[in-house]
Parts: sequence; structure tokens; C-alpha cells
Amino acid sequence: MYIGCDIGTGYTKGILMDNEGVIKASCIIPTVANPRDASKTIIKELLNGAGLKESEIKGCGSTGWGRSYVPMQHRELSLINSIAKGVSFVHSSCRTVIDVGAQHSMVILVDEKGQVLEFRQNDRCAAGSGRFIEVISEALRVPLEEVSSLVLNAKERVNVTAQCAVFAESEVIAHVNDGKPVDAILAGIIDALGRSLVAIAKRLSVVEDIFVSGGMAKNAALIKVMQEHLQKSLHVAEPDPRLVGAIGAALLVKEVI
Amino acid sequence: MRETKEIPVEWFKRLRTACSVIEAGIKTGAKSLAELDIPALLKDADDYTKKVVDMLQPDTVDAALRPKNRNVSLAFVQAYGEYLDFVLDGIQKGKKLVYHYFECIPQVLLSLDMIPVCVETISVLIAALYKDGCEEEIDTLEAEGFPAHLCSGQKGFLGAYLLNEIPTPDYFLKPSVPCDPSNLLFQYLAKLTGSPYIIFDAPYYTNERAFNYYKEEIDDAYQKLIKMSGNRLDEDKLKEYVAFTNKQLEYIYKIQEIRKNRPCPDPAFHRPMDFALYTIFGFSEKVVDYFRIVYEEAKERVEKGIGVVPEGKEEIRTLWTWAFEGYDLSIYHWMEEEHGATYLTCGLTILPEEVVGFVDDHDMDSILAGLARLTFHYPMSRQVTSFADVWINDFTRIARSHKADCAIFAGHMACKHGWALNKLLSDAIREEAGIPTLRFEMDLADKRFTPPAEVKKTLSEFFETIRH
Repeated sequence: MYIGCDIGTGYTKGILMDNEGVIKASCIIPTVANPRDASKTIIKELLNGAGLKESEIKGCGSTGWGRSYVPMQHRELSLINSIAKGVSFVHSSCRTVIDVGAQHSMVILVDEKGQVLEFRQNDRCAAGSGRFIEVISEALRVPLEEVSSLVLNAKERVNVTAQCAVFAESEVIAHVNDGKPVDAILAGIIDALGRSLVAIAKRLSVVEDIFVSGGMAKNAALIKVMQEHLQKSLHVAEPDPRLVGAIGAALLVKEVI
Repeated sequence: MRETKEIPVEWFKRLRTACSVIEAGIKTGAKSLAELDIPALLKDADDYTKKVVDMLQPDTVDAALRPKNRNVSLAFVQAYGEYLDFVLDGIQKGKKLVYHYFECIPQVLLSLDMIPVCVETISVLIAALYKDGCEEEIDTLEAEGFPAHLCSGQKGFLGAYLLNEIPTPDYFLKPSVPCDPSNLLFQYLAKLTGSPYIIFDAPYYTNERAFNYYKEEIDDAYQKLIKMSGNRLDEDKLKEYVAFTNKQLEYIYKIQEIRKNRPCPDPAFHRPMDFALYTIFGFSEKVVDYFRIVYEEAKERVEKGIGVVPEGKEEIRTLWTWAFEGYDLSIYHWMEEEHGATYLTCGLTILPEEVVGFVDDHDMDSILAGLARLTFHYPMSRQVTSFADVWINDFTRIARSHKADCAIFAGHMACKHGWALNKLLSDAIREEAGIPTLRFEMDLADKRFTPPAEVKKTLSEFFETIRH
């Protein structure tokens, strides 16, 4: 058995994989700014859930922002390699991954073996990441999980021009004061995020099939907006777009041990 | 002659002290900072040295002491130290002081009995050698109303002037390319000091007609300097500097060629030092010695069949398509040791032999033409003054000839001209050499923009994708 852990700034994700590469269990918990505790909890849950002891794990691959905090013998792995590997393992036709996490976003070109050919990351702090949506939904007092459906049903979309989450928040407040509906403002925010992600994608010559991973891949409104701007079909990575880094980490550690 | 006590030379003194301390440290035989007996080293040092030694960047000093870097580092601090002595001595003697942009070759200024000081090199070396670099100076200039996204190479220097750490120059000299902000920041300093600012125009094209125009512009700039200063060109001295220049070029071309070997035989830590010595091109035999030692050490490694990457590590051959970060030079040693990443060349040190060649010294006309050609094709000027093809062709050719595994576009945030071309370049490198490009933003001489730990993190992620 192998463990893959992806300790992100928003969530910590873990999977248990058998020797044949079958995912036997998975777990996702909030990191809450404490990667040490989050990774400890994840490992414990995966082991307890499968009735395994740590000594029965052949290898643990860790990736993500808090990858060095995993409380067991582990190998630290590049998040870019892990995401590329994880998505390509599940979707062999994948040639481009757009990953949108809590504090980062990246576009990765991969070959048929899941190896990274080239990548680009967002270079404007939170503006191209999930945190951008969190900040705005908090300001509008809309639960994060309702954002997507509100945007998909919105009748209009305001224009949000700010590239910075802080400035965008000020712009949103101005729209609220102008009496704009909340769903229209959120539609503008999702559009702004989608445009910035597509701008990163266009820095590389993206090749289909294109898969979206990371927590923001669960936002159907964002996927729709990105498709519009990119003029290409996007697919959401399975089994859960948040797990691809952990899957890749398990696969990579399996390859080297 | 100026009165000694009234001449502010703090920055030059600080750099001279850093060179002396590193030279003394290497001469103790210590092979790392941990091995260096600092109290013993400072036993007979003056108060100034004792005061500033704690401000030196420990990681950079450590990298300079390491076995594969130490001989070249010693040659560097001796060559640059000699130059700083010349600057300090010349200032005290009242010689004409010329602050110039880094794409102005100094040989003619030296032959006019002037003191050439490259603004950007001084700022970068202060940032590279001292923990706080030129941050106070940058903040001082920004407090004047300048935005953060101008070049720290000039901002640091201008701030040093405002803080009375460098003297008022007699002249400023600069080509009209490649960046607009530097043209205007030089103007600001010229206005502050009241010193004349001479700018020579550079054409958009790179053909012979363009070169002839450029040469006329440079000649005109020298004539203005001669007329204003009353100094005379010492032709014998110029021939001497040209002889050093040609020897330096000979080694530079050999070094560029020898880096084609796999494993790469030339340590990455040397590249920023190369850059600094390009800005005092032809200054002395010691500058030639530096490049000779770089070449001879690399040649010896090739003969022994060894490289600079630690045993057991797979080499990743990196091609730095634009600048390098100048505030933590130990990163180049770190990436070689940690990731096996060697450094083939960069946009600040590339000099293609086929277009630059040597300076024909048979008469004054040929000498001035040869020096103008060297400036015309000087790193950075060559790449971003004209059509994108020049830069793209240079780097795709090197990517293939030197078998690069990846390219790195370390984009100085102030170099808009470089950023404007990065997409064309990285696409061409991927299409023609089949290698990826990492691009990241940084500031040449201000670590606060992208701290060293962040640079290391970014490079580590990238190298892992290459290695996988």
C-alpha cells in the first residue's frame, strides 16, 4: 500500500493506493493553517479506515505547500509533477491540466506518459486562485458552495476589472452600493477569475484534452466561463478534482520505491 | 584637487572592503565559512572592516570559499579590488569621474584619464555582497516619488547619491537603449548633480549601415567628452587596454565554447562575476587573469572528464535567457550542489564570437570601430534593441549547441523590453530546441521583491519537473 498526501493551504488531501494503483480510500480535510496537524489527521484516518499500521505502508509521497510536515517517513514531491501524474493516470488522453487551488493556479502541458513538458503559474498573488472567490463571497456574505449556482442563474454580469483580490473587493463594494444584484457581481468575479486563468493558459499553446483540477474545478460556473474564453472543451478531473495531487504523489512514490 | 574629507566614497569603500575580506578569507585556506576563523582574520583589520564585516552576506562568502569557486573568486576580488583602488585613488586625485550605463565599454574613458564607473554593477555588487544590499538607498529614492517598478540597478545608485555615499560625477554617459527608465533616471541624477549627460543614439537595426551610424554616435560622444574635459586621448594607453580586451575576449570565447561539454566544466557561481568584469572590460592584466583562470580550470576538468556537478547527481543544463538575480549569488552554487543544475550562459554575459570578434588594433580608426562593435553587440543591448530574431536566434542556437535541458527566464521586473519578448522566445525555444522555459519575476538588486527562499522554491519545483 502507498499513501499520497497533498497538503494545500486550503485543504489537505490524502489517498491510499494499492500495489496495482487502485485507490482504496481517500480523505479531504481543511488545513486551517496547520499543515502538521492536518497531515497527521489525514494519515491517521487513512490508516485507521483501512485497518493498516504505518509499517504496512511501502511508501508515502507528499506534495503541496505543507509537504515537509507529514509525520511519517515520506518523500517530498513537486506539486507540478504530482498533479500532472495524477490527472494523466486517471485520464490518459489529457495533454493540458489547469489546476486552480486555494492560493495558486497553474497550467501544465503533459505528454502521453504524464510527464511535464512545460508549465506556467499565476504571478498575481490571490487574483488567479480560489482565495479570490473566498474573499469576495465573504464580502457579499454568500456561502462559497452557493456561488456557482447563483452565477449560472444570473441574468446579468457586471464588469470587474481589478486584477488584485483586495482591489476587486473594493470594486465589489462599489457595485453593491450601486444596487447591482449579488448574482451579477459574483458572475463578474467568476468571469474575472476565468479570464485570468485563460490568460495563463494562453501563455502556453494548450493542447486538448484539457482537464481542470483543484478545488475550483468543482465550480461549474468557472468551468463554463473558461470554456467560453478559451473556446475549447474542458473536463473536470475525476474521481475528485481535489485529489489529483495526492494521487500523483502516491504514483510517483510507487515508481521510485 | 577635491578635498579628501568632503568626498563621499562610502559605497566604493564598502565594496573594496568586501573584496579585501573575501581575498583574505580565501587565502587562509578555509574551504567554507564554517572553517573560517573570523576573529583571526580580523585581528589586524582596521575599524571600518570590523564594522562592516558582519554585514557581509554569509552564504555568498561561503560559496566563494568553496573549492570549485575559490580560485576564480580570488581572481575576481583581486581584479575588481584593483579597479576599486583605481576609482578611490582617482577620486582623491581629482580625476574626471564618469558614471555610465553598463553597456558602455570603458577603454576610451580610461585612455582619457577618466574614472569609468558602471552604475548598475556597483548597485548589484552592493546587493550581492551585503545583507541589506542597497535597500535603504532604493527606499530613499522611492521616497522622492519614484515608483517601485523602476530598475534597482539605477535606483540603488541614485539613492546612494542622495544619501551622500558616492561623489558627484563630472559626466554621465549612456546609450539610448535598451530601456527608457534608465535614460530618464540618468537624467534625474544629471539634474540633481548639474553634471553634463551625454547620450549616444543606438539604431533599431543591426546591419552595417546601422553600425556605422552607431559608431559615429559613439565617436561624437567621445569628442564631446574631450571638448568638455580638455583631456587628451592617450593612444598608447588605449592600445594597452585594447590588448587586454582582446586577451579577455579570447578567453571569453573559449569559455563559451568549453561549456558545450557535458558535464559542464564551469561553475554557475562564476556568471555574475563575469558580468561585473564585462563592465570593466580591458581594465587590467588582472581582469584577463580572471577569465584565464575560469578557462584553465574548466579545461582541466574537461581533461579529467569531470564536471562541476557533485558526483552521483544527474546534470540539468540551464540556459538563462535573460538576467540573473543579483542579490544572493550563493543560489547559483546551491542549484548546482542541490539539483545538479549548471549554468550555460545568460542574457547578461552572452557574447557571440562570430559577430563581436576581436578589436583590430592596427590604427586608431580600427580600434574605435572594434570597441564600438563590442558595445553594439553587448549583452542585453544586442538582444532587445532590434528585431526579436536576434535574441531568438542567439538563444535557440545555444540551446542546441550546448545541449540545454531547460531555459530559465529570470525576468527583472523593470525590464519591460525583456518581458515583451519572453513569449516569442520561450515558444521558439520549445519549438526549435524542444525544451521548456521557467519564467519568474524578480528584481535584479532588491531581494524584497522575490526573496531568495522563494527563488529557491520556484527553481526546485522546476528542476523536479525536468528531472522526472
